[in-house]
Amino acid sequence: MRVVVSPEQAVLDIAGLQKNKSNSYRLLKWTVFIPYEDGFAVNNYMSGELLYIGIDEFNRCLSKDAAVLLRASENPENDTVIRIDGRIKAVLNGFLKNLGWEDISKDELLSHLLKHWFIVPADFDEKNLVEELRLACKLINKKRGITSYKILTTTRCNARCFYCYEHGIKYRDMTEETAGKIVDYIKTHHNGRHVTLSWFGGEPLMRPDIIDIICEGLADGNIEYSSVMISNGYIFNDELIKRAKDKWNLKNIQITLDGTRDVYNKTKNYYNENDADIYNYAGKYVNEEISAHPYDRVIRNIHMLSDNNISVNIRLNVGAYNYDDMDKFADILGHEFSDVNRVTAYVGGLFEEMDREGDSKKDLVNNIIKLSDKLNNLGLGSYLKSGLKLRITGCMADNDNHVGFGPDGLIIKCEHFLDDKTIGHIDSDYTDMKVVEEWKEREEEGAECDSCPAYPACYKLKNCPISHSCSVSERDEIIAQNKRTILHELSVEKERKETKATQ
Amino acid sequence: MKIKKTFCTQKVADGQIMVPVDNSESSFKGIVRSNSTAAFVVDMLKEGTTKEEILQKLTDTYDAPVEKLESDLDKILEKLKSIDAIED
Repeated sequence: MRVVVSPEQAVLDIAGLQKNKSNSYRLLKWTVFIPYEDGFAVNNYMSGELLYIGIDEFNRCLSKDAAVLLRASENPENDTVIRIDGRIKAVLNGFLKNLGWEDISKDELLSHLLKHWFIVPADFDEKNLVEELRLACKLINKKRGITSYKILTTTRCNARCFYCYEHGIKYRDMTEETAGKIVDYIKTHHNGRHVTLSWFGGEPLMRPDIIDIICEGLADGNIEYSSVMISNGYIFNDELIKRAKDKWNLKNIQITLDGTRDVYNKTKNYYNENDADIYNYAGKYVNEEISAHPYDRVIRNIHMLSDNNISVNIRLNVGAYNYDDMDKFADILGHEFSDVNRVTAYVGGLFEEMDREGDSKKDLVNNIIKLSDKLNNLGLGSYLKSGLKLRITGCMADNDNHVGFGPDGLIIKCEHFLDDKTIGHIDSDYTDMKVVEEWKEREEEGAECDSCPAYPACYKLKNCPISHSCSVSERDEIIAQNKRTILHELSVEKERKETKATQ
Repeated sequence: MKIKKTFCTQKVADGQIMVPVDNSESSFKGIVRSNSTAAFVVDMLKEGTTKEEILQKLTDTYDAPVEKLESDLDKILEKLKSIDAIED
């Protein structure tokens, strides 16, 4: 056995090493077994610990029949992760139920599995422990102040994507005065800690001047900060990328692409820089010959961003309208970015289509799985390590360490709610605690939750406009995505070992 | 005596949990689960009080022999002291 990813220190600190004595044990429900080489990768979704265990190590403990059953239960090619995991666990649980504390303590492997919460007493209530861990982590985090800020510089956007949830929204720009007050707010609330700014819109790059004011204010106040951004990436040019790197401390940007050149250009439906007054503050950056070719401009910008050490995570927005095109586009992306550092891609379903049920949803999920596998094989996979461990909050909306600012200074908890469900205003000290608490309400668990190994990594909020209970196919997609991350972690470990060996 | 400010509590269905919120100030790492009686004691200790005052409140609130309540209180205080959660 070897530890591929260590457990989260916070979880180990709070839960401690397990010492529960019993006459009968079983595997923690929140583990998943993935057949890998001559054994299994085993992830503990509660602690975040990832192990590799050779099948021989299990076979040492198992009866001959059980060992044969264990091998036969793998069948990795033709089945879902959940079903393979279920069969492996059935064999191992059959063995563990007859073991007592003494038997387990004698064996090095089983003893590690017990101490590190992979094995629990047969009657153990793991749901209760997960909730306690979350509560404890929230209590600890609350004292750390507000260190994460989502800032909407404007609600204006230079693109007109048909699927955008902000369709028809009133244009609002942040004033310089509001930007200054945000700096003061951060100074008061960050508790001396590093601050992460998340630039959002509309299109945040429509107001680079506002980003400048806030970053300069923080720098003048000696507040450490870094930035991330959600953007269409169109407005960037040499000068802005330099500012993003040097002044905004931009570390990561998410850019959405919708397909090959024609599909992308039609979907984005950008305003021309001469259209109306849309580019009031950013026009000077886009007045170039290349702006007549939005797709090419954005691809160029992704290269320029990564050349400047800014990571780019491309979100491929997939819906029924672009399944075929996306397949071709994945190949183009592979050709363009496979060898480029700091460029990754992931697939997201259009929100509206993800909310549907039935066959169309199944098609969408299957397409997401197929496309994600393809991106992975092309070396562009984006691996969400946080998907393999305990999730403390749903998102920024229920996180006490986070607030957002609308362009007009309203303090928000969710970018989907700029006028209602806000919690205060930058001009006032009042915080509407009733709304703060409403954002923390949890969505009721769905039928699949109890048997889902990824339960600790999942946290859904009742008032989230894009949250819904998983369907079986959707749950399978999440677990398949996690499997890709687990295999990626194993390959990273292998590379690390090989590098060490050659040194 | 008083619960140190570096500890924080949260009500849960069957009592209370308590955790150190500043690891640099506390050698204890972990979670303290309190039943309703222990939670009662911890809540009193947030304001600063004496053992005698706590015992008085316990006898006013719970229908149990004072010896039993005192013995329980001693165990709770001992536990809290052992994790360095109380200051004078």
